[in-house]
Amino acid sequence: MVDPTNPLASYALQATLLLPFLGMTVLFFGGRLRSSMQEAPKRWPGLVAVFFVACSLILSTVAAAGTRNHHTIAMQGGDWIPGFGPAFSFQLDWLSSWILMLVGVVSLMVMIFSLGYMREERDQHRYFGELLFFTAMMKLLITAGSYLLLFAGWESVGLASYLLIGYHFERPKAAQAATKAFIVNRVGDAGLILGIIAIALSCGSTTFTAVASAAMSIPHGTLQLICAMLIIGAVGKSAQFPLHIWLPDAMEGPTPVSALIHSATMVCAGVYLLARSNFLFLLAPEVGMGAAVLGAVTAVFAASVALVEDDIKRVLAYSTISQIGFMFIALGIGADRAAMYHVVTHAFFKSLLFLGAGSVIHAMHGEQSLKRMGGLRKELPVTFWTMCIASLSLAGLPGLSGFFSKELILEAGFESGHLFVTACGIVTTLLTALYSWRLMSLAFFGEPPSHRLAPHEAPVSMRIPLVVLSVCCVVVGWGFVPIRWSAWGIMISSGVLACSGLALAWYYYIRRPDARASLDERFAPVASLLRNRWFIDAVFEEHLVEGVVLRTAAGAAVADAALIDGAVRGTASVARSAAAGLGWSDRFVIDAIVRAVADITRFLSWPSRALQSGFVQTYALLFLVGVLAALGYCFSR
Amino acid sequence: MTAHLLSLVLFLPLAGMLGLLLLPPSVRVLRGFAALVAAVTFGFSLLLLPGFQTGSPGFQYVERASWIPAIGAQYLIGLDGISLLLVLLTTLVSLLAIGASWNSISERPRLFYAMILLLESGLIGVFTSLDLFLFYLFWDTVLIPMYFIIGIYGGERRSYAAIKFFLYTLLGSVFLLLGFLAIYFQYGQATGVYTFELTKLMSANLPLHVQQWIFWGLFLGFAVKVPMFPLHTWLPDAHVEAPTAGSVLLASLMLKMGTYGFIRFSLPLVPAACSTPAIVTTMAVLSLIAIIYGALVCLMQRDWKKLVAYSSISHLGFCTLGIFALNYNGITGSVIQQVSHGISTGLLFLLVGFIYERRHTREIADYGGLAQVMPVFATVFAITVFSSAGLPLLNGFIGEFTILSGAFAVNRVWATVGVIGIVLSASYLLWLYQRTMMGPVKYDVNRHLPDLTARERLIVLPLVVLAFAIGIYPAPLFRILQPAVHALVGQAQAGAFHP
Repeated sequence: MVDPTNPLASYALQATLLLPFLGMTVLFFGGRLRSSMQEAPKRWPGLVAVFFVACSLILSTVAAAGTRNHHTIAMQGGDWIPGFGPAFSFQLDWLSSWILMLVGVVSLMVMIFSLGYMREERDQHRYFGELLFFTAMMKLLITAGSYLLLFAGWESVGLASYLLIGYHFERPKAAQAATKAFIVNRVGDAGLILGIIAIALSCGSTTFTAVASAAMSIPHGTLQLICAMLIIGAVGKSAQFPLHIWLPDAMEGPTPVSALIHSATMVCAGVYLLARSNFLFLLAPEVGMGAAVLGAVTAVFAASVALVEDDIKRVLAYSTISQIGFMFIALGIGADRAAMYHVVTHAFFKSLLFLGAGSVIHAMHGEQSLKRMGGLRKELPVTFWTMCIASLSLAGLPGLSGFFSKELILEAGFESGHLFVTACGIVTTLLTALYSWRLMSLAFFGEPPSHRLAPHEAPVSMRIPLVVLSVCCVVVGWGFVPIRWSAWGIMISSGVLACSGLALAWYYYIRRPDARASLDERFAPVASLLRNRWFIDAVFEEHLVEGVVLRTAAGAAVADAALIDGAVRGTASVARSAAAGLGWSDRFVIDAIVRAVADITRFLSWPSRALQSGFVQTYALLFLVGVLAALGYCFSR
Repeated sequence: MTAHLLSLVLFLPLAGMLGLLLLPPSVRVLRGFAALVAAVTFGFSLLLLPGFQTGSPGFQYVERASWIPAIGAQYLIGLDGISLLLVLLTTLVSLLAIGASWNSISERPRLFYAMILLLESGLIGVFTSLDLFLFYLFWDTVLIPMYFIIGIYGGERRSYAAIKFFLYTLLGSVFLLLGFLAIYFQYGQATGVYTFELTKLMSANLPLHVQQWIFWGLFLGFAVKVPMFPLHTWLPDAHVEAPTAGSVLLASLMLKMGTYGFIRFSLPLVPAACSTPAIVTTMAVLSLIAIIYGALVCLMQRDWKKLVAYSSISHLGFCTLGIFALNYNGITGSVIQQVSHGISTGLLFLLVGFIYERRHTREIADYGGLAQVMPVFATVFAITVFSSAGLPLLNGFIGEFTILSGAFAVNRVWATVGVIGIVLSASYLLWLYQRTMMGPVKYDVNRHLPDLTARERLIVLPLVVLAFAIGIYPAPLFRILQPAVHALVGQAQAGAFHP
């Protein structure tokens, strides 16, 4: 399993994949599953995790270096499920090496941040073990060379997400959120399974290279089906409308987990999948447009909900949904690279925002509501400035990374001529600027609420990742995204759009907060629609799950007991009644006849029976009478 | 020794059962002896592996002896890949079932362990017989020990459940016997040779309408055992009332008798009937109903054990769907799913049993938050849940994926309905996990439940290891199955049906 053209990179890649896994094994066997209440939290699991992730990052740099000049490292392995091609294959090209590096950096930052953030937690090795498992599986997903192996990674990161959302499993809300996330994801996965099966049956293999070369010969109808199924899978994992409902709830997980899994890496796996499958979508662009439209709707919808959410993490969750919608727009119109640039820039600024939010929550002793924050600017300077950079980058302020990648997508939208999705993109840009500065205003500006425990700036272990990531937010835009100055028209207009959104938020939330009340009044119905998240959660929970699925299930359970088992019990009771009837007739008809015969015989036989008394004297007497009668007869002749 | 190895494996438990009768009436001695016998049997069954020629088609370890020459019945046993896997599953799970009964059976232990060993022999007989008469003998033999295991050692409604189980399956067996006799006489009349030998009867080439009648006769026998919708209602009762070992043996092994019967007898004996559109469609539709319907009923269960019982109906639906896809992937996937189901549902029942021994209740609502109290139990349970829900890199996925790809090749709608079943199975399993393991500890009684003991860990360990092994590296199973399945597909597609 080594690429002969670049053995060094191959070994580095293997080690990259194995190291987090090794770390997980160390933690799993090194600590008990659950430490007792009295024990002080241990420090070593976090340090072990940081060590393994850091080593893995260094090696992935070596591996990624092997993909310069459009070189692809391909490692062909053995079969996993025989008959579906050599699924245990790995592939590292420009696309995967970007994401590999990204996952390495963000996971390292999140681990370091967790050292401080999770300091008080008892189950350190469970937490870090699960994070390492996630990192290992995310890297597997990215470097997989076949759809099947990708799917193994895909489901495993889903499992990691389930475990980490449910890290505080003793809280009912966390338990519920974990279950919901997994099941909603499974809906998407169901589509993906069908897609992979269709791919395997039409190409005879699931490796990307084999599928790419056989793609032309797949019948168009099948191709459309495959693309649609891949989109369904991506929609589930990347929390796009209408399967986005799990992501806001997933915020029940610890905040560093949200930063890593539910914003920067795992939720972008759907985008990666579609970008990876671009050779299929090139042949069925009409299906790709479906992804674009879904993404466009999601982008506007989620951004609008983010405008009114009060929980700091849920604002960011809806923002993530909206931004991934942006990436879907790019994917659908064929701008894969633009989408991937946005994945990268988004990962940095969004994980920074989440870690910043974690720092705020940490400072506020667990408080997550924006309404009870305010004025934190002075108490948390590092958090404030780093989050400022991230927010402005998210808003698309010219010069920061988010601006460049977003501009690329809008540019591609204009070039493709798809008006609807481009328009949605523009509206989203405005809304994004608005809600991102609203969040900053509510948390860091204004007057602090009166009764509040003194907030405190985060410890060093939490500040370092914030600073590193904010540097990434700035630098990535300039060195990494290809800036096309020729498209200056779009650049200027999207910059103006972002700035006006920021200004609007500044006016309503910092300058004239009192003006907000009248605004709320005037747009009350809209606000209510947004606060209820467009009623989608309600439709899902009340109508689909409770109304349709659970009611059908209840019906099935009743039918099973009443009808199907009823038929069995009915048959049994018919048989028993019949048996009882036959028993009765046996006793009172057939046996009655037998007994009647006996009775009649007995009745007819009573005279002779009277003689059969058993007394010898009677027999002797009868004998005497008989003898006398015989003698009398003889003598009388 | 290899000449009679299979017979040895087959009769060792039976001999052990007779040996039990001679032992002193002490629980320790009896259970120890039973475990020893089961362990030795398992060891010998493992010896079957190195001598098994994976590449070669046909039956191996064949042993033949004249038995009742007057009717042409022989003692004829042998293995192909399909039977080999099921025999190994049987010997392993029987051993674990004895381990699981270690402390829970204190009254009349002699009869209990005797019945388990008898059941083991019966099952091995079912999976190895190549003579229809011999097969039928073992098929019905299996009923008796299970009847006693449920009826004597079961829960409150044990006698109802035992009788229902016995009569329901016996009724099915009658039709099975009629089907066998029909083939026997048809073949005898046509050739003048009256025999029960499977490989000879496979060449009977009966007219289609006769085959169809015979198919439905065999169907009643096998479908009750699987059980297929709507012949399944004996199963929840039997499972809920049976002691842990009984549930494990029932779910892991006895249900496979039905699916094995379809593969071993229905497909080769009446191939033309099996590939008529009406029958294929009926079987597929019944399987799909079982998948969806079983899963939906699971969602509504308040009883932990009943939920697991209904989940079996849903999972076995995949097995029958795979069989009647009548292609290589479908049938291979079906056998792998049978083995996988034996592992994961065996684990599920073992775990319910462990918790029942501690708390004496099966109501889901009586639990909650157990992961805080019993972390090892919760971890094993989580692995089991995900293995049963078909998470990749665990065993369940391999079978389901292969079956679905077989079904997809025949009819895309089948595969689509099938994946809905996968979503539902994640739903009911994770919901069960949430309600029992997660959340706060609701009741103080549960606060001090002891975690898995060393014996319990030892019992679940082999199954957990197998779950990972099959999930990560299933290729050996495919290699073992390949020739047998290819032969079957060749026969079944002689009069193939392509919708």
